Amino acid sequence: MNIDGFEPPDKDNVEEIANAYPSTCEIEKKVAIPFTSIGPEAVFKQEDAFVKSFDQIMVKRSMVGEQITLEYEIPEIKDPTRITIKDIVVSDSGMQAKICPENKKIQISGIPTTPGDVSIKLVYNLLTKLQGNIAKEHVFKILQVTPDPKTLWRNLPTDNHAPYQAVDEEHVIIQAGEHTIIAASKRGRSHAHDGKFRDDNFKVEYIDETGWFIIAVSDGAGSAKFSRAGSRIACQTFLDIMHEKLSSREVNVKIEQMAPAARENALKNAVLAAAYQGLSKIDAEAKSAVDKIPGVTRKDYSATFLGHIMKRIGDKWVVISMGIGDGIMGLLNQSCNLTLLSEPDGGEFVGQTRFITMNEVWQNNPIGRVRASTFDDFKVIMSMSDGVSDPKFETDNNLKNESLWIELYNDIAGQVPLGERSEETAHKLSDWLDFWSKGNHDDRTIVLVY
Amino acid sequence: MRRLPVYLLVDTSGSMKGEPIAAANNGLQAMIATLKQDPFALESVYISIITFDRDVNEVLPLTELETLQAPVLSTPESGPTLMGKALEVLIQKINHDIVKNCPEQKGDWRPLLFVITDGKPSDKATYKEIVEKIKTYKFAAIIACAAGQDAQTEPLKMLTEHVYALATMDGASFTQFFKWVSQSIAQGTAKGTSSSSIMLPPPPSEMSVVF
Repeated sequence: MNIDGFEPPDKDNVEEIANAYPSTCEIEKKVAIPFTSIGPEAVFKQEDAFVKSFDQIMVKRSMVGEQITLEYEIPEIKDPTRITIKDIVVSDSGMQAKICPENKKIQISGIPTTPGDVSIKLVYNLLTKLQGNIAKEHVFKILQVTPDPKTLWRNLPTDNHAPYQAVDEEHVIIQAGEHTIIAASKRGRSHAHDGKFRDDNFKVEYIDETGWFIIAVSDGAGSAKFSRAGSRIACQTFLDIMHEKLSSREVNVKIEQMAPAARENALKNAVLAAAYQGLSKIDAEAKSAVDKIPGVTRKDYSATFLGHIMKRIGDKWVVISMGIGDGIMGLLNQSCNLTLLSEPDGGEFVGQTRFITMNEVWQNNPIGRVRASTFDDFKVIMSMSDGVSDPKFETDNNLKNESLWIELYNDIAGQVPLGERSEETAHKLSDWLDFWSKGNHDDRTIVLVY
Repeated sequence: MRRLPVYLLVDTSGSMKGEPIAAANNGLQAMIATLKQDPFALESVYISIITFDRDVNEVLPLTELETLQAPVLSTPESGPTLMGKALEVLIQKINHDIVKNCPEQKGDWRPLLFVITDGKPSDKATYKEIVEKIKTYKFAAIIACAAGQDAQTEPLKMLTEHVYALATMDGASFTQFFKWVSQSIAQGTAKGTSSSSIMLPPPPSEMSVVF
């Protein structure tokens, strides 16, 4: 028997529907159970088809902070007057829903704010013959939102009782005659995530009276307990010893009088000696620390080293540079031609490098690590730890790629007002170090002379 | 981007049918969910799953953690346990998957290998042969787990010094095992695995070290 053009009732279906909506099942049962012979069940059948079409929607994947737009067709039902959509509520506050009547679609768009499941609550009226409009709702899942990996990084403080305290960040800017030295160093996300210290360090100086620049950058080995002390000692010792030599007027008079080749050799020896003194200081430190920290050795202070000194002598810039381990130093002249001031010490395996604390470094032609170069001019000299060079150059071959150096310099100059010689500028360089690069979250240090 | 490849070799032979395979599936799901919460792992871990029973199947090719969905493992009714063949397939996959370090390219970290079985290799000769070959490959660590009473630890000890026994094959044990696996992987990424072997976290009480 057909009444009002409805299909014959289906008793089983009533039960099924009632069970499908635990939240509204009280209403459902009240409505459904008394009518075993006519109409309302048929309404439910239409409702069932309507609701099921939403339940079959494919759950999409998205990430917190990622703009997304989804569209769903509003299913056709036999008698459209039976169901009226009153409201659509999205469980994530960053997303909104709207109905587009022209193409019979529901559009959900926005930016998910919280990880987890996003669902939609469809609020609608169901028109029944005996009870008129019944307010109903149906909830279905549309999105699975994963957290933004950037937000998973913790920023834990370091242990303030541990030996060899180190600040998480430092930056400096120095007027160096007509030039500027700017430097910044920052604890990497991977260290911050575990509350580990910043192992990178730098020391820079310009000697006004004699016109010498002294730059040192060091990266403490992640696997060495006190490498933060090793990197600091390596930089400080280099600076102290070079300062002592290069600030002397007498020494400078001699240097200037020397023939270029002899001068280069003498300066190379001085740089090598100053870097080597870093190791002696580390050994002395390890020796004196052993009372308080049993079993500590020089290996616990493992660190890389990048250092250079430079001065304008006559009409040339003389640069003496030395590198141990990874990280890189390079010079761009006014025509943007690149000269590398160090050679990276890449290992056979990923993550393998050399440290100032290794005997092989000092036994195997150490002077070969020292370079003397002369230039008519320079635009910028950049020294950086691998925390910067890995993401910016990626491979050892790319370190020789001039355009990547120019790109790096332009990137910095675009974000840091290098022309303004203020503390704020150095702070901006430190902010620049926060750049995002997937998989690269090591400590970062960069020094620019320009 | 340096990847940390992680290979899971899972025994899906007939004896795993029922609760053990269901428990393994749950454990696998939980492990992947846990790893997805770790920012190091999210950026570097790639996982591959190879199952072995009377066939060997790469049910999950090496896939980055961020996008991967855990496959559902199933078992046949019966048949041999082709663990040797599984290791052969593993070697082929490793030869194909792993990026070596060179001046033009940053290579992958050394891979991690986890093998879990509730029995013993049926293809003994192949197994013996392939184990020798595996030793020439540089893994960050090979970890073998003998699950249940019938698992034999001797063949696993030929493969690696890291052999653990899981006394029971219920949900709780597998959950603990996979939790430990995810900790081991997370530790692998955090350390950078530059050293020849990684430090494994202490195993849960459900697992015992096999000497």
